[in-house]
Amino acid sequence: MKTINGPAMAIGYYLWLRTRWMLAALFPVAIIVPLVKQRVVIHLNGHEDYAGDLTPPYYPQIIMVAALIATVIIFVLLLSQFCYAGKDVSGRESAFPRWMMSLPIRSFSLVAWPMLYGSTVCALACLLIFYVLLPRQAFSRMPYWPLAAAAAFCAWLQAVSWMPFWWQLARMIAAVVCLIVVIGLGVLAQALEFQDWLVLIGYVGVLALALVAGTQGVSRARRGDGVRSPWSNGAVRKRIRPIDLRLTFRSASAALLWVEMRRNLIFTPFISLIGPVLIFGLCAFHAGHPSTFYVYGKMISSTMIMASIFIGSPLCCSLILNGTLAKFDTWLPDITVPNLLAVRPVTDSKIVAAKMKNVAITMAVTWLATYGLLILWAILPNSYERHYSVAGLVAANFTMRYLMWGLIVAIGLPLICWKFAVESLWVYLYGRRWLINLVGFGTITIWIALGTLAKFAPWREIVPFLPWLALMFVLAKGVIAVVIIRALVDRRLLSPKRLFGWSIVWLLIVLSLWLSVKAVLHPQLLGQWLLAAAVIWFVPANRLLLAPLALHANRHR
Amino acid sequence: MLIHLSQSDGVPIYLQIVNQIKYLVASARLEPGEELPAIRTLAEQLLVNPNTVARAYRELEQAGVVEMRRTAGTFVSATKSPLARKEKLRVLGERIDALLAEARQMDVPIDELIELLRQHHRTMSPQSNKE
Amino acid sequence: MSALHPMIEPQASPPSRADGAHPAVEIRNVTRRFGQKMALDDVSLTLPTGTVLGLVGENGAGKTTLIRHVMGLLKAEQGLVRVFGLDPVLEPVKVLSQIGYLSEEPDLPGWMRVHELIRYIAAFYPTWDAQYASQLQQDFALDLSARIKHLSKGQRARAGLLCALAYRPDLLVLDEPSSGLDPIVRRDILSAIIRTIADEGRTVLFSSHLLSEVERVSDRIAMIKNGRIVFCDTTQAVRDAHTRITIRFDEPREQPPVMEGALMWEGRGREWTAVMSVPANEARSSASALGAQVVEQSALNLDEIFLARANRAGGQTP
Repeated sequence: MKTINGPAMAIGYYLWLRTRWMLAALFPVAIIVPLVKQRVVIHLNGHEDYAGDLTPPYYPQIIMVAALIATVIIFVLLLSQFCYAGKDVSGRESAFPRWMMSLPIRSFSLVAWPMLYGSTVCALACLLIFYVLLPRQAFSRMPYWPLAAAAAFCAWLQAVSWMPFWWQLARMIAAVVCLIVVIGLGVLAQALEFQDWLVLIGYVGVLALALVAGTQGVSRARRGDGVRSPWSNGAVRKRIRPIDLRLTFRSASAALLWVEMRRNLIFTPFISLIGPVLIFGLCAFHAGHPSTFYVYGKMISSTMIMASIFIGSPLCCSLILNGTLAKFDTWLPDITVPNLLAVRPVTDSKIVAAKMKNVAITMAVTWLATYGLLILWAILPNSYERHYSVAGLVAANFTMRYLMWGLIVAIGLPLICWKFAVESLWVYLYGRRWLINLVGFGTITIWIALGTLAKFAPWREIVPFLPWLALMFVLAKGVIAVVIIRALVDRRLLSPKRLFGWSIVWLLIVLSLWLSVKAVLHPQLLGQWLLAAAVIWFVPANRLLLAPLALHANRHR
Repeated sequence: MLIHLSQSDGVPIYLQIVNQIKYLVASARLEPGEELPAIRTLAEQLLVNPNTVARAYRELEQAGVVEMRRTAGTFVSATKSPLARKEKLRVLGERIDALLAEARQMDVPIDELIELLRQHHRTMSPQSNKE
Repeated sequence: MSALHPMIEPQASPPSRADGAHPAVEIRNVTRRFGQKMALDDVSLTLPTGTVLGLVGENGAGKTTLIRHVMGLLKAEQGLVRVFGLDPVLEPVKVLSQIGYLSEEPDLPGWMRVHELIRYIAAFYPTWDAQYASQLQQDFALDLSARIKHLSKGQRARAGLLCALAYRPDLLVLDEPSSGLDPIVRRDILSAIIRTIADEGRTVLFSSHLLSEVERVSDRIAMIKNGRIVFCDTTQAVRDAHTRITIRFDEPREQPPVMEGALMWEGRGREWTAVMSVPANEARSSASALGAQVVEQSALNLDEIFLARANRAGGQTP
């Protein structure tokens, strides 16, 4: 058995063990995508390069976007591995592994080596992202600062993870601040037209600061302090009111909901709103920047960028984080059912019902907060657009129709987020890592395939067959529903009475949605039966039914 | 009531309880007519299974040391039951065999052994100096 | 060890809800694999109502797997598991409302406070006795406003014990409850077991490495080795079925003699000592059949039986 000498090699080996599969997953992207780019583009354009604009054919862009998404996901996973993630990220204690803290190695070495490996790998991953994204000429003319920014961000993320904090959730805020600062520096430098080598030296300085901060953090964690602020006297605060043990929950469902809300309510709103709040704080009172950008030939004003950040952040966060709400505790990485819940006399259906209620509440909170922020931003005088506020702009162009559409969107967005979140609960509730990975990457693959097929497909020939396809689809959904319901009844998770009740509710929802959309939509756009099939597809049923089944399989292995 | 249980010498727990209660009765630390603790109470005190205590009490009752009165509890026997006397002598005979075997192995003559018996008897019942 | 422990005066507890028709736990021909490893191999076990069953075995022998089957946390791949006549996987509400569970794993979430935990658990059990819970909390000296992550290991075990006892379950299932705990907490757990069993009709199933405790408290003892039950019998029968015998030969021997049922041999020359899995009289007759003289013969405690058994390749004793 070969032995390893020195902390550098040992830490490198440990990180290799943690990240080897992700690095392996990056290989196909690095090799396949350029090949596809080559072949497809030559085949269609007759020559090697495309200008990179949104002219047809679109699928090189689709493949690139897909590969980009995959690479970004792997990048994020890599980051979490380099930060030794695995503990409660919202907590005050350092995430640095305890067993490493008691090794006979100086804190500086413990921090420097992972930072070196991490920042190198992240810079390379960033390079890969750009290679995938940009056409060849643009790639060769690309500035270097994004790579340095990726390296610096990785180092700062590690430093922030390993520092103990005085307050809960402070770590997550610090991480977002680091991201904004690191990227902001590069953007600033580019706007002020600094030389490349100067920017690089700046980032090396940022890396060095990260190293210092990280070493400080790990030293404090090793000593065991840093978790209490200096002004708290460390004594347990005495409760003024005596605790009455006779106060109880109304029912088991109430207790389940209480735990759900306690651990899983704040997660989505918090993550969605850190970015918008910080950007709101930075930009709301700041003057002097160009107010319009040109992206792919279209003009985008900074107002639109701000509005899309405010709406886009909660939307993206709810869509990406939706499955994690299925965990018992979103702040911890466990996906198994803890004994605390598994040995209680409560059926899996009740647990899932509590989760769905919590998802509804959390989406409501997220979007109410978002709308509140949006309204606040709209009211304030906007320094970009020559000192008038967005609210004034809206008031000037007001019509009832806009209001109606605005209300529909305002109510529809939380509902859609709830639907997507609740439909993906079953993946995490099943409690097996392979399913989560499979569904995650599988969904992306399917969307890529559909997108590519959509451009290749001869639409004119297919249109007459659409009604049959829709019918087949509805029948398939029905058959799958029957299979799932049989399984649920076998495991005593669904009683016939409840089944009847919920079927009626589902039919009513489908009916009312169909009628209301039919009233608003042009008949030529989509025939009423196709619309019905679309509504049946849209309203969740099967994946909701799968959730208690998945939890059952997790709880009773 | 002081009962000491030891688990290292291989003697079953119920037997240890039986022997120690017999010893307490014999050394007059438990008076005739005195109530023994309830089975449940003694079990909780000694941290043993109540069935073990129940078995010990049954054995004691068979040996005539205690009597179990329904709903009233368990009491030390006031009188010595003659039917059990043969049983008692049999048990004592077994002990004497073991004692004699060990004494022979240790090379202790029978007279010294008898003197040792008298010594221990004096220590156990100081008020009765009669032999 | 004198009676200094301040005992709670036993209150009138409600009679057990379990009917006498079904044994508390019935496990029949259960087999379970984890990948390649056979965790349970055709295991059958019955736990009658009102008894204490102590489950012993090495680490990794299958005790926790068996207990998880009883709790419904694992589904039986083959065979059946019935608790009070019901399947714990199909009827979690009826079965689990009668079971109190305590395990050695850190089950309790660190962020919860003790009073929140008690309130949470109480919501699931209609038979929760708030007064009894309050009494236990005072006896265990649990600080209601402390967070669980700030409690010591012993206090956490006591909190878990409170949550398992307060609704007076008919079946108490303990998976190595005393592991790593100080003697005072162990005492509390043992008292809880005895108090439970002293109430009519309640049953206890517990696994432990502290064999002295198992011996004191169990009516029946079952030993698992490599996923098979080595023996399952009353405590007294287990003790009677094993003996230690020292025999003396006329001529010195180099190898230990071969005797039916010998688990472990020790000694040299003319005197050899064996731990045997046969009753004392059988051992004596085997010894005389070999022509040896029995010098000493004594009973064994559970620790010694376990050690001797664990050395041998296990199998079901007839």
